[in-house]
Amino acid sequence: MTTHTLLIVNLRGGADGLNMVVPFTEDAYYRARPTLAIPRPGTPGGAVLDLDGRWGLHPALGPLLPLFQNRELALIVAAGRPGSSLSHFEAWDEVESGALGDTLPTTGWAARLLEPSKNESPLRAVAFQDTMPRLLTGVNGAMALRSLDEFKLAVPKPKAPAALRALGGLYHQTELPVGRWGERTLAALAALDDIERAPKNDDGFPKTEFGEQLRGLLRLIRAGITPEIASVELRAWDTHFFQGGLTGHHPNLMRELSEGLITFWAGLGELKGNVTVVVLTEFGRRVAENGSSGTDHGEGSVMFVLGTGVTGGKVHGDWPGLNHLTSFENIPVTTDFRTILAEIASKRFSNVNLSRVFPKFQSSSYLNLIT
Amino acid sequence: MVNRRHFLGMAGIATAAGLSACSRWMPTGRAASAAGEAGRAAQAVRQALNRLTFGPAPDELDRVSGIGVNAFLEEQLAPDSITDFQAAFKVRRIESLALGAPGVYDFTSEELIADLRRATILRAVYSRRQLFEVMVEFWNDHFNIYSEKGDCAQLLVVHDRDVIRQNAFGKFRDLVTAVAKSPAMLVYLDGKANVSGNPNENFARELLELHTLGLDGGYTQADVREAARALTGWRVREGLIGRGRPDFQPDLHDDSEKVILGTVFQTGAANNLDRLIDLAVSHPATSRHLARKLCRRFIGDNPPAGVVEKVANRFRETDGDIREVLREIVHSKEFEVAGPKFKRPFRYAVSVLRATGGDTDGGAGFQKQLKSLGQLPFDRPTPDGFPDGDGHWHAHVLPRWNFAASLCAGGIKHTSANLENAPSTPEATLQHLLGRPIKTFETSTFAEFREKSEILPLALCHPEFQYH
Repeated sequence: MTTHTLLIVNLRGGADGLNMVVPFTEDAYYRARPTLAIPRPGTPGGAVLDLDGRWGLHPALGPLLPLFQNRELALIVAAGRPGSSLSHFEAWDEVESGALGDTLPTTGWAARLLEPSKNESPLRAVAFQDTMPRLLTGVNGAMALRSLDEFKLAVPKPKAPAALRALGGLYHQTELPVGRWGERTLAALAALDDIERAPKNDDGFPKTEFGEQLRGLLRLIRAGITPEIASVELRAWDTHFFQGGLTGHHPNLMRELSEGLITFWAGLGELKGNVTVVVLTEFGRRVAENGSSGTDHGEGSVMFVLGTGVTGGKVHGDWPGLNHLTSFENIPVTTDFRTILAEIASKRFSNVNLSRVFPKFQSSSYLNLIT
Repeated sequence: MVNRRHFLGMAGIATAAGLSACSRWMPTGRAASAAGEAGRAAQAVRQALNRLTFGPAPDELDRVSGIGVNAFLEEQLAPDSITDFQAAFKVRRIESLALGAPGVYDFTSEELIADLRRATILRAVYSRRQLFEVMVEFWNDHFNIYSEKGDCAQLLVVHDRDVIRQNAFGKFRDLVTAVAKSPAMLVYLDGKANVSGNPNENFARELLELHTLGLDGGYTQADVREAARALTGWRVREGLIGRGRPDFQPDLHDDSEKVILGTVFQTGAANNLDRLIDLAVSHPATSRHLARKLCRRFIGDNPPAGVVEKVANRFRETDGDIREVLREIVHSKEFEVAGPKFKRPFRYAVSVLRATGGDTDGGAGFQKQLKSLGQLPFDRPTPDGFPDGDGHWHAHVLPRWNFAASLCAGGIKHTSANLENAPSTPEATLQHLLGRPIKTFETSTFAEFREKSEILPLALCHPEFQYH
């Protein structure tokens, strides 16, 4: 069976879902956001892109519109991590460990998802960042790497084999925990030895760390080194201050996100069927903008699911309307992030024990995001 | 200018320890090679130096074996008494470090942040006030500021000097207060946008969650909202005059009644910020949060609860006296018997230079390496600072191998490992770096490596050298 890749795109900082997928028929939206609201469809000078007469996509997410229209992209509103603790760090610990509360599992939900798999690839789970995220903590054979281009040994070719042998000797013999990480690194280097020869038709990515992460992942997949889980991150969504409505910081992030994703998706070509993408964040923003044309931490946000076989072209989720907010005047989470992840896990992976992947979580019925 | 007192101090240091790079890369004498009782004492010294400094320089191992860890600690806790000629001389050339606001705006953010990083690296590598530099790094993580946000690059010049360095060994309350009023922090966490009637909660939340009480410190979302109101009105001056200076504007301050952590702030009370910080700093949760974090840094990733509690008590008894808290940690049994701790990347790179008597200008070449290693100072976007703990870092060993290889191949601009003075055998190299004799399997691992330029980089990649 071909390895399926689940790509998790982490929008770090708490992304303002309300300005990404906009309920443009609700006056409350325009009242709550006098400087930040995105105008109704057709407004001259920039407006949301009408999805279904009720929801509008921010124009900076426009590159993703064709994926929505051809039903590969599903959007879920009022989704995310339920609860009102608005600490970025606590929220990510919960999202990445797949549980809520005071005593979280130390391993990531993705690590527990991969437990039954017999895959021994040293790159079976890859986080494109400097430090190992909790999501992949506990995977035998997870790597954290900043950039695929930098992931090579800086030793001249003739001397490399001896250096690799010697490193293998030192890291194999030690009892220190870094030993196995050294060995995994060496195995990954061996697996990537000839990836430079992989087709390089992957231009068009944003010239940013996020673009570089997606570009690296695309090259891995095209070279047949297919991670089961990949994690990329786009940072700086913590828009307390002048976040920008039609233009500015938040729209720039959305453009980077959408251009990166569309380039990645197009680059997959025939391999699209083997990849599912989830975009998520730790929490949304408050409905009402703050005094500095920004938004403070909120609750419900938006999630994206992209893939073939996804029931795309539809805005999913139970939207309570902006007149039904939480006690902190936030959008409530009506779809727990785990409901979405559990559906993907059970339909895209084998031998999944959901009560182990998401302990103490009783999923409500699936949204049927995947046919 | 070198005045008379400095000069005399300098002469003392020069005879005690030597100043030249060459003498710093000598195989160690009594500190490393002694056996039995003396060997254990030498290991204890190495261990203490590993934690209290960015890595033992060879001369320091011998010197501290002579005077003892306690005397070394006391010396380090009085940084002004340590003549620091070499670091001062290297850093003095970086003119932008002396700038204030608005003078910093005469320079580009790229120039300023490159200079500040250069100074940070040079001090970590060359300063004899090592514990002070270790604590500056600790506080720069604890009160993390990202240079790319707004004009933080400009404002960090002042912040690093007048807020962090000024208070790094002082009282925790003074440090938190200075941070809260620092323009760099007011920009980074949007405090400057937090005004009466339109509060911005960003700084208030991190003040409680990261800087003082800690995540499980017993405050609520309502406390965050009220604290934000107490912090309103602190702005950063704009325009030509005084640009970049803190600017409290009473008419933007919300002085109506609030309740924070169960304490009532009456309407019209002055100094809401100071009072809030007082309240937060003296809260028992803050002492435990800081104690845990410091013990994690100086003792190990999972410090025993007993020592954390002892250190927290000391924090409360001394009204958050940072030096007293450090004494409590270093005098603890847990510090003495602490096991190996995985070096964070900055420490790894600096410890390589210190152990090898290497040299760097701290410039673009070295900074690029730190970026690849994952810990370039002032480059952490999120306010939690670079993480501590091996789980975060141990998947990222390849950049360390590449750092060692590039360094020894002369591939890092204006940075060198002082190869000519390096030991010529694997035995001597490992003894020097790890403080123990070579093992049999290592002899065969190193068998193919005959040149110093091959032995040293492999030794610097050694798993044990990744720990301190």
